[in-house]
Amino acid sequence: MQFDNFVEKKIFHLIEVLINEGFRHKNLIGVNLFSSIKTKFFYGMSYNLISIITDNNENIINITIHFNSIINRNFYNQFIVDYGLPNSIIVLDNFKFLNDLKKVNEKKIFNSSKVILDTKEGNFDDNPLFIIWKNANVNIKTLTKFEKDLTELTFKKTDCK
Amino acid sequence: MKLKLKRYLKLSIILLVAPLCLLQCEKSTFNDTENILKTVSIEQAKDYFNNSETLQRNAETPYITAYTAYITQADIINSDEMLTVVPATTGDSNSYSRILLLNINGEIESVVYSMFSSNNFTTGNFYGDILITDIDGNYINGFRVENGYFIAKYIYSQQQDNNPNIAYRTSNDDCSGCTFSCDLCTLDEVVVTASKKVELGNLYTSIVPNGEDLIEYVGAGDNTGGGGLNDSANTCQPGYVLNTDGICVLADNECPEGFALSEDGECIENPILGADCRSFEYAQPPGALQKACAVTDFGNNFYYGFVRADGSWEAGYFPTNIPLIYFTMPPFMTNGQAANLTAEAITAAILLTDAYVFENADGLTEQQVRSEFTNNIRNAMLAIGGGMTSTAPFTIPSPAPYTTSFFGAATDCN
Repeated sequence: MQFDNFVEKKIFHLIEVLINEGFRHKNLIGVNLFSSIKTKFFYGMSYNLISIITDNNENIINITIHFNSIINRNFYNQFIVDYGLPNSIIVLDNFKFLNDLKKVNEKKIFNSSKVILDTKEGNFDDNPLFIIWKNANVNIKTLTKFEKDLTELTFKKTDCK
Repeated sequence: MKLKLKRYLKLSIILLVAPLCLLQCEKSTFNDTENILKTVSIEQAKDYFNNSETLQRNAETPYITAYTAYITQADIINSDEMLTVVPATTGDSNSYSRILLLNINGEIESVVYSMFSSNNFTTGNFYGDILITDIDGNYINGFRVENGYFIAKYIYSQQQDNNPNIAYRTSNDDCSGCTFSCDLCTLDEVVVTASKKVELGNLYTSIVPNGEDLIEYVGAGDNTGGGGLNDSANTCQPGYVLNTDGICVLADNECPEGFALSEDGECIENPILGADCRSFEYAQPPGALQKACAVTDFGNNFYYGFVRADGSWEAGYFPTNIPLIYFTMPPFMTNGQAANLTAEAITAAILLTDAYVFENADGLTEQQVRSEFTNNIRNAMLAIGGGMTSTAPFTIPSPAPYTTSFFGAATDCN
């Protein structure tokens, strides 16, 4: 399925498609969750959940596929055939840091902070945190959450318009 | 007249607007009125509740609590438009209520339609009283119903009370002999032609009754789908499913491990939840008006990464943590159902905050992320009838640690 074709379109088009493919749809506070009992595959990666965020006019802002594991070389090789080489592959300078993510706990009611990671341009085999494609019509990002051993792939409307 | 109703039986009815065989002349008569009816879409309904000060959870003692995650729509006789139906609860545990929304002449109008059974809903056709109020609890209309037929209309007399607001009655009030409440204790009755139908004009004050029956009432428990407003196949409240007899019953968990029971009674896999329902150990001690749970170490890491126009990039994340937080849920759910719904709500809040961070990463501050996350949690909890607070609603001796789990998460704590 070409998810990028649905970005910025009315979500009901995609709802119909996904329900016909066996997904169940649930909307909560503008988050559309599509879950499937049967495992689905996207460029060889398995997944059971898609989340879609819409604006107030029901236009799709982004579509995220929640893969069941970290993307592999097979996925990457197939994906770049259709979408080209990415603009950036962002990897951590110190990969070990990922296993020791900062946890804020200052005994306040709500603790938060911002952590800017030491990153560098890398290649796919360097365990990228982000892979970013900036296309004319849609931006694509993968985010790998190493602490949870999974990758999310997001199609979102382009910033260029 | 009013009997103590068991909660589970109260849920065994649904409100039904049944499509009738319509005469064309009736339809044209209705269209000739000055009332222009339009369906309120589900999204419009959600916006309506989000913008309603009365219905905001932080409003002081709201009359009605709406469950906007379960909005459905029902046919209106003599019209192609539909009523939008929102499950709701009032402070009176004996009532079974829905909020009905309709766009009339360009304005969304709402009424609260509450049923009070005189026999615990034990008969196929309804016996009891119907109360219609606005969302603040102000009296609009009332009916006495026997064997599914509206047989009498209650007339509120200005002489009895200058304030026909029943909003703040609680089930603890000693008004057991009253028709609806202490403020509406003795109402005059006018016998009406027995009918299973009620006019829209008896619900919405802006519609002038024109003698047409636009809503049909059917008693509870029959195989035609129960009684009341038929908002399609399953209108049961959260955690309840429609059985083969058309009765809302507590959903039994008969799903295999790794599957969860959906609100319509099907076993579905819920493979990725940001929050594990085991984090939410709800309890409701005697006397407490709602369920609550305490969770420690609640939070999430929100990642961001972007490439600027000049080719430079930035990547990082926003760790968030709340050392101790309390979630509340309505009393009619089981503790497990409340936990399941809370896990879903928190997951939605996390995903929405994730998207916000993704969209606005350049220059985003931790305060903005914290504010967005907080608002999303509040809205998600509100959508399922619950809330979030930093103050303990009652003493909870053993808060549960927050557990995130993407695979192998417990998705059904019921």
